[in-house]
Amino acid sequence: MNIKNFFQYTPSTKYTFNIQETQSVSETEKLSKDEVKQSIYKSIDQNLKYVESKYNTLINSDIIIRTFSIVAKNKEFKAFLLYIDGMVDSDLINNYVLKPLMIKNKSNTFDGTITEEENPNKITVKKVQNFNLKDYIYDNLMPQNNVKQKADFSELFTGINSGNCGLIVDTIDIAFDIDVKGFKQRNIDKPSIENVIKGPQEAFVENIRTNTSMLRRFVNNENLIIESISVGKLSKTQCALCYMQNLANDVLIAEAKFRLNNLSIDTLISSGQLEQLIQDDNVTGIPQIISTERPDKCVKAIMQGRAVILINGNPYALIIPSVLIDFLSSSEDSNLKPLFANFLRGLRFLAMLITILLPGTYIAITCFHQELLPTDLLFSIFASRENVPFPIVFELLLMETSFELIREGGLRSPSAIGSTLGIVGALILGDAAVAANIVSPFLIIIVAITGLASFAIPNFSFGFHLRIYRFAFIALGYLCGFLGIGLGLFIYIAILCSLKSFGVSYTAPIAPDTSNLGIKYFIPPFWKQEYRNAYLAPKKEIAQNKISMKWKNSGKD
Amino acid sequence: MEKINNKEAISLVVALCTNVTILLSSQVIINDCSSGSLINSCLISLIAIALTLVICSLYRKFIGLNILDISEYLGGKTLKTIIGIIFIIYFLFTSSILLYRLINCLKIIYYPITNIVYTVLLFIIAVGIICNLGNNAFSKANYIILPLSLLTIILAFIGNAENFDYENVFPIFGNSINHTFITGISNLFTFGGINYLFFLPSKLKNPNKFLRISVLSIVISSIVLLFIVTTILFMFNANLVEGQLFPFYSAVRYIEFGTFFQRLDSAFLLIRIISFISFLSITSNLCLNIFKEIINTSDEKPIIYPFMLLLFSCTLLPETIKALDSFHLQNNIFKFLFFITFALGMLILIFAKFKKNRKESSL
Repeated sequence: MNIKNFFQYTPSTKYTFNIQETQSVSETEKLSKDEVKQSIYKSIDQNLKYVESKYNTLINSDIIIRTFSIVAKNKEFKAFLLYIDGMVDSDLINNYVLKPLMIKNKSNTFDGTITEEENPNKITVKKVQNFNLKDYIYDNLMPQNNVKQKADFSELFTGINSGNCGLIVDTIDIAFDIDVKGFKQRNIDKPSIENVIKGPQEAFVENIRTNTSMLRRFVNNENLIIESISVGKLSKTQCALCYMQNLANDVLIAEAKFRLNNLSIDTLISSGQLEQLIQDDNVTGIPQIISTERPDKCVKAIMQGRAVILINGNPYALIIPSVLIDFLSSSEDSNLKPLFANFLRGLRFLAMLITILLPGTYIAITCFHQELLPTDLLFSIFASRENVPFPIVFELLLMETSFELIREGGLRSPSAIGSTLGIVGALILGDAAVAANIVSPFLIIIVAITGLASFAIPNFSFGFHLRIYRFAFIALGYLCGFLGIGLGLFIYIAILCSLKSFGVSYTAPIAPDTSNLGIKYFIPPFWKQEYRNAYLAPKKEIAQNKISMKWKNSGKD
Repeated sequence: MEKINNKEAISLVVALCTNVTILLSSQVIINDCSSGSLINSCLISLIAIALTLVICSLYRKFIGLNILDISEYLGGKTLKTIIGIIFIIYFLFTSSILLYRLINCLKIIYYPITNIVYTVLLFIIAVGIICNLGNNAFSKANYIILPLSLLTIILAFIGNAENFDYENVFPIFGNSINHTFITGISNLFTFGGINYLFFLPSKLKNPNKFLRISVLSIVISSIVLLFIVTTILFMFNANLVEGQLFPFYSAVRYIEFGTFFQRLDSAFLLIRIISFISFLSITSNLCLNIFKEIINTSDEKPIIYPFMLLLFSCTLLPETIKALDSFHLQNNIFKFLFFITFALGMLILIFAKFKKNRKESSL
């Protein structure tokens, strides 16, 4: 640095940009214009101006307004088509919208409609009907299967935004919402997160209609209700509440609708946002709604009397209500023999305990309760720590944080190097840390087992909360040993017991012990799954006959 | 308020009795009756079951009501308030005595240089959090924890079986028949959970099952009592028990499962801590509910922390007043409070039944 400049004032050259925070919300903004419904005008010029201003056609390059003339009954009417480029099928618009409307033929050049009636005297009487342009276009010029008449712009715009095209004709105060969707979308693919070895290999996609069709196909029953609810004042994201009307509890469905219809938000983009908005408790961080990409899992839930919420633009569905044991269950369980499935369920429960308690217990034992370990093992632990300069809690936190970094790094990196990063991080970093006497080898084992156990938790959100709570148990174990672990564990269990998911106790059917009917944590063979879970209060408790394998009895005679 | 189901109700009463037994009464029984402890345990168990049946028969006229509602029916709001305060004192003092004993054990075993105040504070904060959770979280959590707690007691019995000295049971009637059968009846305080029965009907989802719930819970508690007393009596000579702070813990120290699990006492203590925090949350919640009913308020949250402060102060009383730091005195306070509250509860029920009968006959 120049000495001269040191004493001289130099103005800051750093570029700063701040947006002034709004101090108060004006009354006019509170009653947003978006919420005011505007009816379609009769004058096409007015309609055109309104559409152009609403869609900012001077700025937006993908908004297409195609003006043309319609000939009907030998009269010409001005009209325009409104659609979003890239979201519609051009061929459909050309062949089945513009062509019938623009090409002059005998039917639209004739100046009166004639209907023929045959009276009892076998004399045909020809009547000329009054001309109605709206009905005429709808009945004669629209060779489309899905055309709706909209009276106000907001409804029309919702259709256009989802890939339809709007037809507005001079002199009539309604618009036609024509289904010509043709945007590119992802094909149905294999599940990327919830993989199973045996079982369906289909996952939800971003398009809500594809997802609802998958549910329809799986359920294959007319009692499946798929109710559409739009969420978000600006985004008007289409959500679908799916349930079996003869199984799901009416109160549950009413509550779900109540929550979905009472969301005062501007935009809804993901299922994660909706999950936060509708779940009962957001303080503890424990997930209370299952988010899944598997249609078969949703169908299973629907058939138990639960409800599923699909969100347009998101390949994840939300299952309500969800209880603790659902987060430890996998779709694989129903595809396996009960012996194997229950073994896996037991393993997952153990994984849950290890994830949350192992590091804390390790620290409690090494700091306070050394007598619990056999002398030889205790010596080997202390011998391995002999050259480590840090206190054990620092050592543990260092390794846990490194593990979390490796996991996050692997997740965010491109898939090609993601797995390599994990191996490099785990092997080389761990080995180097031990060689450099930063951590003890025993601790590496503890952290590795904890990490592996956390991967065994089938639900990502549930596993995440365990990873966070683990740090609290590390602190408690370090501060007061088993006393801290014991107090923490009881508080944790009490927190779980205090939670509710859409009115259902989170720890059901274990506490409260609802009923012996239905499935608890360990699943019986499929032929013995005769009842639906009582905690869901389904309309039909019996899921199958007492003797489901009738073929066994039929051979007795 | 959310109601509890039958199994949760049973687990609440059993948890109350078990914790009293492990931390205090098993030692008192063995001190009082020596080798006659087993017979004394059987005797008090039978008396407890009989008393439970009497309570249930008196409650037949007051289905779904608790002792506070009944005392209001009998003597108006004044009697309700008096009874409420007496029961609060009972549950508050019994909790603080047991907490003080557990913390003293922990201090000797694991935290010799830590001030007892911090350990008490940890328990108080934990109970405060649990009380704040609401939704009967404590009763559900207790229902989950109790099987684990009972399992450790059974494991302690099985694990120690090879070390049992069966001669400790002789002479079978203990120091004297008088000690075992007459004065030994005072050991009935081990079933402190009986006093909880006075408040149970109003908490139940199905109050008609009150009889079954009460009898089952007392029977289970009796079995637990027998397991604990047997384990201690067969492990140590009765004369050795008196000087110990936590004899059941001492018994667990002798358990060995193979060469790997040579000292399981800290694992046992972990379960006991969890079980005791469950006990504390049950009694604290009950006290808060009683107080809520007395002052007729719908929200108990504002009174949680003042009550925790009260529990904290009561627990530390023996630290402040050294005269109270005596096993015999604490044991006598416990017995006195138990019998006063129990007798009051019974009297209220009997008089209320008379009143109701008279009203019905006059109609």
